[in-house]
Amino acid sequence: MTIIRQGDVTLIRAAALPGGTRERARTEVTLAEGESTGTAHVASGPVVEHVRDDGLEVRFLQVLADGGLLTHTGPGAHHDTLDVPPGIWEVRVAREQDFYEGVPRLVAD
Amino acid sequence: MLMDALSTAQRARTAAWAEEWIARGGPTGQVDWSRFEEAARRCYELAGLRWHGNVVRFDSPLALAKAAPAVGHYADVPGLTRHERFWTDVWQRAFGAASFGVWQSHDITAEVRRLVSEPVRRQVRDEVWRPVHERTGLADVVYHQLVDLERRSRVKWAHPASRTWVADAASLSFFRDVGGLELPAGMWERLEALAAACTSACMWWSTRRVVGVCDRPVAIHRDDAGRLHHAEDKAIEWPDGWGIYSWHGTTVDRWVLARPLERISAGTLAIEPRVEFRRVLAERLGRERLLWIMGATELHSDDYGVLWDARRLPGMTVDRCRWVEVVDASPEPIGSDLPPLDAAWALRLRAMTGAGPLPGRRYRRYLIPVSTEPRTARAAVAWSNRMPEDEWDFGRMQGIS
Repeated sequence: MTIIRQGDVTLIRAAALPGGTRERARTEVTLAEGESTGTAHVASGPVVEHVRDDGLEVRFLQVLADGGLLTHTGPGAHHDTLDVPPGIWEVRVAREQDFYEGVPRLVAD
Repeated sequence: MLMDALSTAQRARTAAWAEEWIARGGPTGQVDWSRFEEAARRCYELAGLRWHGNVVRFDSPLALAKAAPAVGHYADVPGLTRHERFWTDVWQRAFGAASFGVWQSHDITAEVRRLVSEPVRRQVRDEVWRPVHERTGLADVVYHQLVDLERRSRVKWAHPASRTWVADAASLSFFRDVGGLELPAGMWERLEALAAACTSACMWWSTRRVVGVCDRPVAIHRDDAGRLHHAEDKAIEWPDGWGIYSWHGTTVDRWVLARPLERISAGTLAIEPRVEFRRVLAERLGRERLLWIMGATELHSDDYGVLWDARRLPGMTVDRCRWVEVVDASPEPIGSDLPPLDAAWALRLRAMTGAGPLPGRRYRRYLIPVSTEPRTARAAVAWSNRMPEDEWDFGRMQGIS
């Protein structure tokens, strides 16, 4: 298994696109936005976002050819831009524990 | 003739273009009242409305908000409100013409919006005026009266917070001045009249018989990311002293910034109900002091980080508080005042990235609150990244930043 990680966003190489997904975006896909920081993790290039929403949304990034990039954008963005090779990647956004609510919540830097 | 792709030279001008419009969208200092009144008059005329000549000045947005109900009875206009007619007749007609003429080139439109409009929108509307708008409303019950008045008597806010005008104006002007865009007669005049009114003063509203407008802020303080920020005082302030306190874009009450660190205890964090206030207090404390006042102890450490444990505070629903401390793979901006990584953390950075710290650069260590399930630092990092522990392996990482 191959992993690409940019801050709080992780891309995990998948063998194939699973069934039951639908296309949601192309060319420029925001994978995560930091509410407090104003930054975003954006995939761009020959990319397509697919989602499977069966109660818990699962997201995939399909990179169709060379040229896929993962960029940290916005004021204060500090993560280096990464190449994303062609293929299918599952998108996972990091989580942290909320001590007051007692449940995990998604985060993005 | 429109450009169908940005040249290298044109693309190189986008950053400075955005910066210029960011400055125009958040001006401080002396208001040119005669320029504002002239621009407001032009807005009325261009919208086909009679200019009443009544301009009431206020010292701050809060004063402007409080005054709105008093003039509500002036706004009993059937059909479109005066404010809506402004935006419909003045702005939308200019923007609509531009849409017809320019936005047909989708790729270039998207690129200019990304490079020019988005930075302006984020810096001007999101980072400065939205907090002011929210604070004005939250600070006074007048906000609710305003909402009601907007519905009943059609008084509307006319200020940069509620509109994306400055971001659209930035990209439109870029197309005009850099791309040679030409619009039908009068369209640029509309756009410029509205932009002049909005940039010469500050927030304003308009009705059938009167315009209310407030002074510019005397100061706006931002952090490196452009967010409202001042560590000790108001981040934005008006001549009458009204303003808001903000910590890296999070609006807080004065005490959150003013309380000395030695008077912030675990109890302070425990009883504060607002999560954003707790977060700011924790950031002010810093990583080491937060762990100290929480009485945290080290449970485990490995190449991936350090796992910390502490008792829970009143109000928390977890059994224990756990954090995993990690180091950021990307260095801080040059000039950071963070201390250098010690040997142990330099080794962790090397394990993660394959290389040690870059010479002269600093790296941020931070705490991630985690579940009590993970027993090791690696497991905790894997839990945060929603991966099985054995699959969260630096050796599997093709790219990391």
